[in-house]
Amino acid sequence: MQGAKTKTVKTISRQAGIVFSVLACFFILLICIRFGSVHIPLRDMARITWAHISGSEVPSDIQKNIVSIFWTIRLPRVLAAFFVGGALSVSGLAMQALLQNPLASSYTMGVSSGAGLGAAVVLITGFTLPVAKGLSLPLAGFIFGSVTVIGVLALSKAIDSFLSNTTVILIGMIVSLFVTGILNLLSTLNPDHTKQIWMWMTGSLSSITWLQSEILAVVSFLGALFLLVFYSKKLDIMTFGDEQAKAMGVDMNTAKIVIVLITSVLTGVSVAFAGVIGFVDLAAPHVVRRIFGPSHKTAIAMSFVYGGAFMALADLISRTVLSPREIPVGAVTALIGAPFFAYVFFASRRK
Amino acid sequence: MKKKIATLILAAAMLTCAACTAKPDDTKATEESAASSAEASAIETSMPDISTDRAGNAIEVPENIDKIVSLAPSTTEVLIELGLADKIVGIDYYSADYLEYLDADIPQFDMMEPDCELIASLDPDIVFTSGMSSVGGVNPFLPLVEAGYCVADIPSSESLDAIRDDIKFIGAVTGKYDESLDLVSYMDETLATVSEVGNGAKVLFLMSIPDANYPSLYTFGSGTYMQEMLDIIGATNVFADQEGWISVSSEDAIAADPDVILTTVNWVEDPVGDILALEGWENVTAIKNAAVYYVDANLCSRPNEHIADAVVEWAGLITSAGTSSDNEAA
Repeated sequence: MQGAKTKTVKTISRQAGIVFSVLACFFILLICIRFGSVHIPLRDMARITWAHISGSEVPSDIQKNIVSIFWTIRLPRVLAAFFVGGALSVSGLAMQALLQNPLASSYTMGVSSGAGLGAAVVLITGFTLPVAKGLSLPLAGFIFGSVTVIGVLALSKAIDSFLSNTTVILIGMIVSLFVTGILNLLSTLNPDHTKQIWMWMTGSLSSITWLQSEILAVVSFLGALFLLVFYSKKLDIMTFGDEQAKAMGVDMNTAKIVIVLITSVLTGVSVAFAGVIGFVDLAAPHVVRRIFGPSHKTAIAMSFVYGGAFMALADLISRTVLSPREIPVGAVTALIGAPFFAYVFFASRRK
Repeated sequence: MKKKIATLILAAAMLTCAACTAKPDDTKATEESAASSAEASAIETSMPDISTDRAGNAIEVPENIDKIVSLAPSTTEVLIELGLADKIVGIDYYSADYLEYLDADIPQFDMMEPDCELIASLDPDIVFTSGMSSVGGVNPFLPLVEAGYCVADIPSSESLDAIRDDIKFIGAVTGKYDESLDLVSYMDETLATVSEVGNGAKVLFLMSIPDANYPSLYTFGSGTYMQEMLDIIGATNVFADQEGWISVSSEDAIAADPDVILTTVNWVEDPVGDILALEGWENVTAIKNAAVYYVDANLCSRPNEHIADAVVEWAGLITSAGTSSDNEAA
């Protein structure tokens, strides 16, 4: 009786926590849309938004440039930041459960070095897609990033058919160092492109368009939803370790492969459009696990919300603090995320 | 993880570099100093001090200079024009643009990661480097300095006067001081032909196109020689209130509503077309009037006397933009 009662109380407080978090996230997004390096009156924002939603003409007393700044530059950027943060955070959560390592992230699997190599190849060969020319680089980054992860998995599987975590982590490190080596070699042999390759890898959310933001939204949402619906139980079991999971009858190999592929898609799409951004995938899942407990059903959804809000805030800082200058958003997430993560991580250990 | 951190450090380093290149006292040079310096440089015939290089490091320049390694294209160009092409025994990759004046088999080096052994094996009397090489605080030429070679660093200058001094320094070091004064006069005379045709036109300078492929928007503010170039033309840099080489947000660039956009982006096929097609920029005056121009990247980004030619080029483009938009208005 006692047990059942505490359980209900816990469930209720958790539900309240979820509702509160989602509301707080909406509020943060509104703040991110509200503020920018260019000041736009609230009334004009509402009128521009209404005009776009209802399909009517934007009132002529609002400067046309202001309309573009709000609707074409700022809105897609805030949304993209949210979805990049969500995607990174969920992929971090899944990798940490999968590898039972609180420091794991899909960057350990070579996604970023692979994506960098893809971008380098496109820049050096000058290859462009016949359609959607502007998407050639992100697409190459995405494909190479995912292929690198598949390579890591294939190699791990060839060496160790049980795909034990240590093997996967070690192979991931080796492959990403190897790919980085190729990348450095290519950029040395083509000094003309070195600057571009670095510029692309550092990345930024500063010129996200609606199309990119929509791609990000669809891919990250579907990826996270897929994990939530089909793999949250399996992730729960995996947290106990390979042996335990096997004993409980979970088909570890297939599950591992699918989860790694999904996380690489999530990370790949965000690296492709926003560059290499660290610490979101470490900080957000940790906070979520501390607040909502280890169950992945809640953790996946909340990681998306927390990671997205964190990223949107980081991007707000990156574009407003030194305005009109921009700070690379990756620098902001690291500056806030690293100390915060260290605090959360060590505070939970001391207990 | 390591890569990630390296990238972040690089990003942070780039940012600090951008921040610290700003030297407020460089902004003083405006059109009047450009005009007066023509006389000033004619009067000033005393050789510059060559006991230190342009970065302030103590150097000992050998009496006779027969073998020169030049690791910056701007320096290589000056050396060639001083008549020293046959003495150049090594260059950086970018200097290969001037290969027609040099030995076709000349060794080429990466200015960021030079092969010091190979440079030493050329036994140069002097090695000219650019500040670019020591980005990150590590001087990659330290082994050469320690081996007793004369390494003269010429950091990227941020003002036209500093560029004049660079040219004179190269001349003084190589025993071609009088010839270097000729190059400075060429620069001054060319600049003198440019009048203030800009009419205060608002100019946005794009060193990168903010689209999917290269997401950031790089431009310059005050405290740069490019700002001085715009000042001479009488055009207004929309980011003149900022300092140094900067990355700015698209929001601010659009809100500034430039009349003319100049770009040095030469790594895409059609930079002008790409800029005209930028989403969200449709209502910017420069885009509406198609006043978007590509300017020769090498001419304006290699700080030597040919900066003056770049000013002539920019002035021509900004003038034609002004007249075409007037026509439309009329």
